[in-house]
Amino acid sequence: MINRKRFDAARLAVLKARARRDGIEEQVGLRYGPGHSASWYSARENRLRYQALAAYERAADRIFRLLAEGSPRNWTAGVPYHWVNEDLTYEDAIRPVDQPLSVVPPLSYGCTVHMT
Amino acid sequence: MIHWYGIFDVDAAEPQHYLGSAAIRTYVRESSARRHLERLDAEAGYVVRRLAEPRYLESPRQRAPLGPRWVDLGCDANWQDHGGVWGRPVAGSNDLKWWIISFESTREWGDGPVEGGKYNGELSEVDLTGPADQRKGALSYIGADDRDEPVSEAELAYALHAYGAKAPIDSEQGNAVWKIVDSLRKLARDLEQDEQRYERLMDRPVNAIGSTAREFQSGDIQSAILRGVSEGDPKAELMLRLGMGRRAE
Repeated sequence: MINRKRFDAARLAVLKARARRDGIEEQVGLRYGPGHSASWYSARENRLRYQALAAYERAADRIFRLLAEGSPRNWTAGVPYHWVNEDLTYEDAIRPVDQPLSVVPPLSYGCTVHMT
Repeated sequence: MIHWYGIFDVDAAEPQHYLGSAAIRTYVRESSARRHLERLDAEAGYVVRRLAEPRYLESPRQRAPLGPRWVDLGCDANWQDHGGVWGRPVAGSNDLKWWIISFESTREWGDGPVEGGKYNGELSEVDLTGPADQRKGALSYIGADDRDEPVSEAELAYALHAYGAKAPIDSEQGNAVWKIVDSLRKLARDLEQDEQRYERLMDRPVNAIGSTAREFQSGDIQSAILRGVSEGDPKAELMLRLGMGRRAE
């Protein structure tokens, strides 16, 4: 069984990392305009962008570790990675496989059967 | 040590070859396998087998391969086995054209190993300002045509790619995942700085009837058929007879 507090804390970390990452991308997007080239970024901007991506991935690892330990379903296949990180509810994460999920998750690339 | 069991389609004669593919319906732990077996007894079409390689389940998710500029367009956490797709706007296109890199395991293609390597990657370009009917068809294809929310550029780029409205630029096959992805990423970057090479790639034939990448992207097969007919190509003649092109007046 997944610890609810740990799951919520991991989810919060993911959402914070996502907000930070979006904020940085928006800033550089506004600075250079649409259609800009990544080669225009300064070293500092590049560092911030890569740090934000790494922070997001670290936070996501926490979610996936919890799911691998305690979820009856396999969340590494058939469902988009970002959806699992940001939208999967605790109730669905722990729901037994013989009970249907409360939502129909989106399909990941190359998958044709919705997880149920 | 936790042992995992997979529920496979019964048609998958050698389930171990299908690890990570859509043939696996779900995974269950050893503790709940008996319950599943009992439940599945009544269901035809499934078989439960113990998995030889639980690492697919235990390993942490795989890192994003392309850096922060590339948008993840719906990969699952195990993109190396299940395939992945990423996109980013083409520099200088005002975000109206996107590079798309798709990656897949050749194990998904059919029985047995594929010559050339275990993985295949493709770089293509999609044009968000293409024909309106093409955009409409693409959005309908992904089920986003009747939604109230506005469609993002990334979503439209993904839809056009999935719909097939793309200009294939290059593909790479091999066994080294990161090498394939990295070489396609570098090609996209290089093409932004080398217009002649870009034009050459867009004007090269990409299918058997000789459609250029540009024509393929806009869904124009007629130009290639008429060109082929004027050059005496029997394939083009056949396609014209099948009604796939109009003879020039």
